[in-house]
Amino acid sequence: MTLNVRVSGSVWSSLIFDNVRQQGDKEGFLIGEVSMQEVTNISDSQINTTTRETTVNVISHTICPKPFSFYNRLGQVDREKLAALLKSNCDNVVGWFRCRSGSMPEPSLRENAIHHHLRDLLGTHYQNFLFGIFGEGSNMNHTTITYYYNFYTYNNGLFSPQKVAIENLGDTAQSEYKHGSSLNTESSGSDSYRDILTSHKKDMIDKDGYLQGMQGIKMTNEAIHDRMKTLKDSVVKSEDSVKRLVAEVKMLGQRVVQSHKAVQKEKVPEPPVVSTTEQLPERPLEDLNLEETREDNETSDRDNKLESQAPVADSDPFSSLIMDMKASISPPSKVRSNSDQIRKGLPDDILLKAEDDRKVRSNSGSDVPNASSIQRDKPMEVSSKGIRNRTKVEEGSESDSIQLPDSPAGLELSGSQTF
Amino acid sequence: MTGLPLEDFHPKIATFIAAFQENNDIGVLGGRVHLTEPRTSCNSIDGKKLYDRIQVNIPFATHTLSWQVLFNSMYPEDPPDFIFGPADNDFVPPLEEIRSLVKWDPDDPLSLKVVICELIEFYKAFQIEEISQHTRLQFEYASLMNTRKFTEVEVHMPHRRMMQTWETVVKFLIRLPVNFSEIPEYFTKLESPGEDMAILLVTYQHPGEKMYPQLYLSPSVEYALGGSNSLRIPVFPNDGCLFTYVPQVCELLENMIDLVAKGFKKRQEYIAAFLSHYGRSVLEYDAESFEQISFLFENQDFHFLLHVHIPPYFPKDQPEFVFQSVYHTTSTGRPFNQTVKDYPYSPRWTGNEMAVRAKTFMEEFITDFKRSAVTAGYSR
Repeated sequence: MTLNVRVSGSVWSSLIFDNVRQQGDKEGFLIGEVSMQEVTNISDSQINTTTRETTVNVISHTICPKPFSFYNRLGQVDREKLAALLKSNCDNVVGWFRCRSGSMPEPSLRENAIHHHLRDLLGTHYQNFLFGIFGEGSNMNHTTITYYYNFYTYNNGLFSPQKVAIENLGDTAQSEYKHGSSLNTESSGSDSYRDILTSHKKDMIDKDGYLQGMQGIKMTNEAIHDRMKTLKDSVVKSEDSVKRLVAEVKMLGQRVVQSHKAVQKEKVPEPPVVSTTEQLPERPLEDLNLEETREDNETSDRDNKLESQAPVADSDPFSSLIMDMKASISPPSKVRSNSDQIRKGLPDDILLKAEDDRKVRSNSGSDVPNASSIQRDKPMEVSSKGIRNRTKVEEGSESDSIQLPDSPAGLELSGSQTF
Repeated sequence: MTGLPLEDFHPKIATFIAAFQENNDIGVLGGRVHLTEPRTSCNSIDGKKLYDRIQVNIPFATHTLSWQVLFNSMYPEDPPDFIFGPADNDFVPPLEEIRSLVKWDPDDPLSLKVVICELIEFYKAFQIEEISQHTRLQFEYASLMNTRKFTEVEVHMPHRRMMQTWETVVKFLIRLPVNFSEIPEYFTKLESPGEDMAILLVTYQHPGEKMYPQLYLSPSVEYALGGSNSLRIPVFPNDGCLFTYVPQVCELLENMIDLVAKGFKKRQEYIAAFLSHYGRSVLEYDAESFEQISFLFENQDFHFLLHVHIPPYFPKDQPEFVFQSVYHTTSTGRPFNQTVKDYPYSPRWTGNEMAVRAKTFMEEFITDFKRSAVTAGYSR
């Protein structure tokens, strides 16, 4: 059970001011209210601790005109005198205080007795009846004046010191205003404050007792939530379709690329023996083999024929290839067929370079007359086929971009959807 | 007390304080009460500041109680208030029972002293109540009180919050009712502040359940008993109790004093006897402590000096005779002398008998002395 004592800054300063205004020892009463709260601390462990907090809000004070005004030498409190002093505040007394300088800040013998008698009389806040000791001190040449204070409550046979929280000194937004503050509330405080509050109350509170502004804010909040729900559904749908479309696009793109490669492969005479390659065109395997064998037989003839034929047009995409064929008189090998396959997709300058490399290789390597003869015979058929194929391909492809025949009109292949 | 600016106090309050300073005895064994730290309740920057608070430091069972007395210079007729300090937080005597506060007389200068005396009584009772929670200490105290011999006992138990929970140190300060009047006067002529007293301090320590005694004596008493070296009190036995041990110490002290007193008397008697026998030969003697007497004797025209030194524990210890030659010196130039410690002697003899026997011894011894003086020394 913890006790918090709160005083607002203005009340505190008026208290100190009253204490130091006159010389000598003074005593007075603290008026306020006591509230209790249960605070639950949520922590990572499963145990949630609940502490009961008592808050004493000091709202105002009164000062007695002179010592021994409500008590006698024995510390016994006179009820009538007390009532005369406190007037209407009898029920709201939360403590009393003494102001005495030049003395130890501990309760004295008589103050002890007075505290007990007051507690018994005023009774309402027995456990948490406060006793404050104020004092003033200054240094030698009076340049620094110190006002010190100590607050006590009497528990378990002794006076235990209490901490006082003075509000409005510091950031109060997070703590004090949330949990209740000691600032003037409607129930306590001066009459004029109370009158003003009541007169303006009806502007802020509607007939059911709720603050008006709150309703509007609540409804706005609900509308925002509903809209968010509908939007969420449509977003989900559009995301699904986008995903599907992207997958489709990718697949189709792959298909186009493969067919393109296949076409290119058909035009160019294949070097013999293609056993295992990653990029086989989509042509029946028997045709390929046949072509290869014919190639093997006719390489030499082909070369001659090529040379005797009309010069190959520069626009012919297979010109470089043909030149390679001519230049190479090397036996068919897996490597070469692979390289040819790869070369079909390569730009021309690289092809030329590769061709030079191959020339070197072929010169160093052993020449097989059969291979060359095989190669020579080929070009006629290949070229015609290639030309045939090429035109086919060319008909199909007129631009670089791949246009799908069945793409829905007006739909761009971007991931986003516009509303 | 010196140092307190009485003129800066409110006049009425100053009378109380002055009277208290003069009349300092409030019933504590520790000595005087000191008044320090005057403070004021008024904090005006200009204007005369009148002191009205004072700190009273009371020695109690080897601790010093620091209490603050609060007057009010605006209302000097009002009775004072007391703050007992953080060390005595739970000392709260009931106000109704402090008669001198209830019937505070602002015109009687001794009112403050009376109040403080009363508060001390309450404090003693409070401490005794505190120890009643310890069975052993309660037993010790009760049994000690039951002997009815010891009336001035101060018990101090440290404040429960100030001490560690596993350690307790309780002090018993007991005044031993020993009669010091027997002590010869010449000892008490020394400057001894206050009256002669013997105080036994017994410290009780909780872990270990041990009692450690310490004896304190007035300076004159200590000197009379032979200094602090001769003061050996017995160790507190492990299973002993206060009410057996304290009388034991008391008895020991009384015996020692008795011894001292008797010894003094005996010495006096001895010297008196010698004087009466050999009065005309006396050179000088110590008339205060009766520890020494010197004669000039003549035997067959041989003159010699006799110095008699009486030890502190006479008659148990034998007096020492020093024979000194008037004719011969030693090599160092000093008169030749010879010390005799083992002449026939008995402590049971009276002074007279000792004087007579001394004479017979001297007559026997003188020839030896003459011979040795002549051989050892040179003629003058």
